[in-house]
Amino acid sequence: MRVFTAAIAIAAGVLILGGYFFPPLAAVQTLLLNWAIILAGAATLVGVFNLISVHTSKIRRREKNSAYSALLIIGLVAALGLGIALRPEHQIARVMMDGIIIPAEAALMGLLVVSLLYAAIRLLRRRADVMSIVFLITAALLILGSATLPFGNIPVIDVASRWMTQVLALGGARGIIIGVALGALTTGLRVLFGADRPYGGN
Amino acid sequence: MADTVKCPVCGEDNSAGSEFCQYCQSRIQPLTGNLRGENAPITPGESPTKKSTADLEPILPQWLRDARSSARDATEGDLPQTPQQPQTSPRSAPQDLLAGLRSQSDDDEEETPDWLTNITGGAPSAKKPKEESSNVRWVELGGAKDSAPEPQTNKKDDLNDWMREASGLPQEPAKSEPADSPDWIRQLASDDTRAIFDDSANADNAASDSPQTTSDWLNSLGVSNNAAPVASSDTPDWQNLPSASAPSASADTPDWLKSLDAADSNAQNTSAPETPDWLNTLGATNSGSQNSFETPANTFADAPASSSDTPDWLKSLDAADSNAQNTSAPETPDWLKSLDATDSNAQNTSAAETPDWLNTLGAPSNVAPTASADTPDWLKGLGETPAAPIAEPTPAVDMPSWMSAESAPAAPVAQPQKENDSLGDVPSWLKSAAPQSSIFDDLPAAQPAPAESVENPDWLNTFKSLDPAKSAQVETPPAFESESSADALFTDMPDWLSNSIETPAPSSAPETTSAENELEVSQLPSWVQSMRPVDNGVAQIASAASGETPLEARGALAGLQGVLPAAPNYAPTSKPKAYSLKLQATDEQVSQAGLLEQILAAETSPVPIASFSTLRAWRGLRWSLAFIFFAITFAVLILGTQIFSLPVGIPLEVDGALQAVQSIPQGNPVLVAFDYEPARVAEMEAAAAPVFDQLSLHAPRLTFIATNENSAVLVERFMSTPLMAEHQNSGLQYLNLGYLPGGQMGIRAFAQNPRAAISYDVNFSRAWDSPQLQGVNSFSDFAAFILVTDSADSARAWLEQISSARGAMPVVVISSAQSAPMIQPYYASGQITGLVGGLQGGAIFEQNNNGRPGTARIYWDAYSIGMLIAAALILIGGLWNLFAGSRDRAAAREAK
Amino acid sequence: MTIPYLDLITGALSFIFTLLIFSYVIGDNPLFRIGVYIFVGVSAGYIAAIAFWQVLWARLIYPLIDASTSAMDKAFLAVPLLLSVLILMKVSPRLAGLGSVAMAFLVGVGAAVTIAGAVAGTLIPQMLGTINAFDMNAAAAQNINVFEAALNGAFILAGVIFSLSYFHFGAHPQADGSMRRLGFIEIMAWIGRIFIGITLGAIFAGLYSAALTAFIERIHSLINFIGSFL
Repeated sequence: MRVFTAAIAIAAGVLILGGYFFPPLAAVQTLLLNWAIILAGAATLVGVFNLISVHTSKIRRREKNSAYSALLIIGLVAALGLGIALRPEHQIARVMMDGIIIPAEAALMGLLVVSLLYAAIRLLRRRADVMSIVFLITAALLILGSATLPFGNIPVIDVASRWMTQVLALGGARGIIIGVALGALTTGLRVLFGADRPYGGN
Repeated sequence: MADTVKCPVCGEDNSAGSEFCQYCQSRIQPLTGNLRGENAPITPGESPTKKSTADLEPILPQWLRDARSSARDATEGDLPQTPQQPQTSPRSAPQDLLAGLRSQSDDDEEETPDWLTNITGGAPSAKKPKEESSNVRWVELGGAKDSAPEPQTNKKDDLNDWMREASGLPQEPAKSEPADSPDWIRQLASDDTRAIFDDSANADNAASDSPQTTSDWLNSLGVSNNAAPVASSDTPDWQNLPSASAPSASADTPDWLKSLDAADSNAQNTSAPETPDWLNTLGATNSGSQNSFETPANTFADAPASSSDTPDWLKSLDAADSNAQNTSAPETPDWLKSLDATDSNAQNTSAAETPDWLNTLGAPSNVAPTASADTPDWLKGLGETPAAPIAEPTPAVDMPSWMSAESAPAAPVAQPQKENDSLGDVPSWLKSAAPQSSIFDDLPAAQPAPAESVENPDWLNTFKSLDPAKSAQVETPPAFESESSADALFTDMPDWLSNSIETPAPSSAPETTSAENELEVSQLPSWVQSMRPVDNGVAQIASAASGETPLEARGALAGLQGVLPAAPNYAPTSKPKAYSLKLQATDEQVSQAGLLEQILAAETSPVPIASFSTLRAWRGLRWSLAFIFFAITFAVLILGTQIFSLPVGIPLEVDGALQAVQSIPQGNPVLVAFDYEPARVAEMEAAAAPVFDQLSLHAPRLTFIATNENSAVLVERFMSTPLMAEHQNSGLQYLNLGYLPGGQMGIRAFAQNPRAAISYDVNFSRAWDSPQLQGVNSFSDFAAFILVTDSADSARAWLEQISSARGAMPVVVISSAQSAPMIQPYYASGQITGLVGGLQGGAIFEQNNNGRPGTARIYWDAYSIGMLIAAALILIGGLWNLFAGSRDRAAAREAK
Repeated sequence: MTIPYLDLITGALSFIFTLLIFSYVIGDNPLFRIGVYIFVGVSAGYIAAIAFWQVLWARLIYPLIDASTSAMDKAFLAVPLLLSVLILMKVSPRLAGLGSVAMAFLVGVGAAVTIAGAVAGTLIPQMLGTINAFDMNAAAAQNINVFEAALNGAFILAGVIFSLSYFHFGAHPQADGSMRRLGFIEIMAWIGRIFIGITLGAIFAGLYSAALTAFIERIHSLINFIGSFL
């Protein structure tokens, strides 16, 4: 079984890669990619079902905070029911998005205003190395550079922050991007060579 | 009475009532009933108690003295009989490693009792007994049933054949093989021997007439010259050890030998006012011998081959008489002089001068009581009664035959009590020598305080005071090693002797035990017990624990004790190598182990947390920050101020986006990908609104696609905003293809073949039939691609997968401010045409959007104030905490 | 068709959930937890509904029942249908092993796509972009001073190299048994740490900007909801 799954993974990967370089394989690549799209959508459902099972078991075992799990299940069932019955783009179904999902997520995002500022203030208390100092100075400089005064941009800060963003931060970001790409390349090759088998299999 | 009980396994003291040892959890109280007190059996490995009976020598009974004298008379007559005894290979060394194994090695030597061979040099040297408190008693393991005599059936025990022979039972075929039976036993069982008991006056004649049938060891006890000739192949070593030709005197002669010597030499200087008659007789028997002797130190070496099997101590005894002429009187010790005085009926022999060997001399004398005027009736009966009467109840098979031989005449079952009564004045040690199931069974009850009995000699009372605990700790030194150890010779005598002293069996024992078909411990000699299998040998473990002799726990010698003594010759000549229990580890390993230990300790040790006051202070900071931002934002938004100016100038990336949007031809298809979370709705809509406002001016055919589950709905939300609704009212149309799953796979599929990747829009209409996608067959057919995303990864995925399919299509990315720095390199590399990042980018774009105000303007004052406050707090708070942290760290270093 | 009171319900829910979440400012409390748990449940249900309609239904079920779909396409849909069933078995611990086949297919395809995208979309273009930073003609076209362009290009190049050096974890054993990177790698990594710090600072600033924007939008929505009743 483990060999079979590895063979499937390697074969699919090789065919996809071949589609990049050999035009006759492009159709096969498209077919396989469309299959993968469907599977990815089904995998989303697996995650949702797993969430249901976890919180259902919490309710069944009457664990601590099981009441919150009950709320979660109620919300999930209601949203799923409405979404399945009315489709997500329906006006009533969009109430869930506009009235619950967006406000809740945006409010959570808004809480970061206090949390991030609090963490930035305390950073040098615990860790006062070069990287922390550079990090904090850059953050303060770019925050200042993002703001304006009633009469316009903040002199010097505006130019400095822009230079840092377009040059210094660009260099570091590019290094990170290249590093990420190298990591992704290595990981993909290990999967295609069968060295890594994150898909499991017995 | 003992208050504590010593565990037989671990040797620790436990309370008297404990059933299990509190140290090793071994059972202390046996499951079966124990024989306790005087009935307690001697446990295997226990040795007779070493007692100093020198003080009691003068009060030896007359019959013993008669026996000695009769033995001396018979000495000369026994000598010619020596050739009649089959000779065996000489027993060379006393420290024979297999001395104790002879009885089990082959049939030729089975007849030799272990205890006899152990008494020889093969007996391992015993250690000094550990001092114990007087209130400690050793636990006797094994109940009476464990060693109860088996019924007299056809079961034949090779080890006991010689015993049955000695008992004179006619049905024993072994009796027809005199060579297989120890002579002294046959002699003990013979009528001639019993004649000794019958009449002390005839003892000498009996010994001379039939010297071969005379018990040699009794003769030797009587310092008889007959001891040596009885040596044979089956003769125990202790009978063969003394050589008749032991010629030379030596200063190494043991005291007890000297005492014998002195007895023969009739030393004149000692006086023994308390000397009993038997000592007088003893002295009389030696009256003919005028020269004392000294046993040479090299007795064993000089012993002839013919006597090699004779026990050393017997040889010594024998030599005492045979070499009497060779010894010199001046070397006679004082105590021999006392013996001499005893022979001369001197009345002033002091008890202190009595040799120690007499302590144990009483033990062998128990089994060889000489008939005299003091001879008890039962002993007389012993001589007169044939052995046959011990019939049914007598366990002749497992009980040593010699005991049966004695018990048969002495213990008629029909008259136990009567004979017991007639033995009221019999010394207890003699009663002990009697068979266990004989008339002395009720002796303990009859003599509650034997030591204080006026009828018993004092030295006999000392025997009564023996208890198993003390006897178990008595050393059993090799015989004849030195003068000092000479006294210990008789402590090495068979345990059954000492056992018989201690444990007279009840009179009803024969009947009961035979009924139960079991063997009592009290009737089983320790040497037999030592041969018992090890699985019943908790008692053997006890003896092993006593440190006397090694106990073989496995192999062919399992259950045997002392068969492989730690002979001095085999003792290690050098100090054994000491193996340290300390773990051998390198310094690095030790350091690493220490580090691991520290880590583990750190994991388990509580970590002090910041004080609550500190936490309250930081919580106050958080609340203060929240209050500030809530207050300012509320105030600015409620007031609706537009004090702060929008950003001045236009960055290159925003300018590139603006140029790209403005360059889109009228009515061309534009692909818009939404990929952001609902949390970023405000920022993304604020940034995207001016771009789409500008784009709408070019009447594009918008096609939306979402690579995020929620984004498909967010497209509808965005298009329903007032600005976009206004454009829709102006004729703007869009197509929502919905959610494109699969991340990079979906993007690649769409970039590779849009028609194959998506067939229907969100309303399940055929997407490619819609007017927005007219003329679009591939990804590059779109006039522009606008990516609205809050994720750098999403942007990277899109940019990576469309890189080969986009052609010259302009790509504009509208991102959140967070992901903008990571998307910036793609703009710098030319992979994207323009980048609008966050609210600031949207505000900049708005200023260049023909002056149409948008969402960014509404938020901008609050945004600028919030950013300024944040920057100020970060700088001020950061500096303050930098110094505070440095101060804390310095204080911590000083504290360390 | 416009449903009455729908905007009011939406506004009310938005107002309530905003307050519930903002209550976290005073600390973790039941109101905050109620808001979060309901939000997670609704979000998951909503996503499941989207996945059903826009993936399973739109791409798998509807094509099978759509008469316009060719027989060949329907036949090819049997494979993803089977694989979808297998991958849904991941829900059951007993049948999860059967889903490994579908997962293997997903992983294999994803690995190949990632490899191609990383090489063609990031590695080569970003390396070329680092080189092109020294393109003086392009700088002149953008009215950028040549010296400034070269300096910027040098900084970008340094940032790329030093940042990559920071992520270089190849170490060699030292005399004292410790594992350390080579000396010049250590220096480059230390400099790269500065570039990484600057980049992370920029990201932090952008995150804070996004958070502040979301915070302002939420406050604005609260004000608007309250103002709608005034």
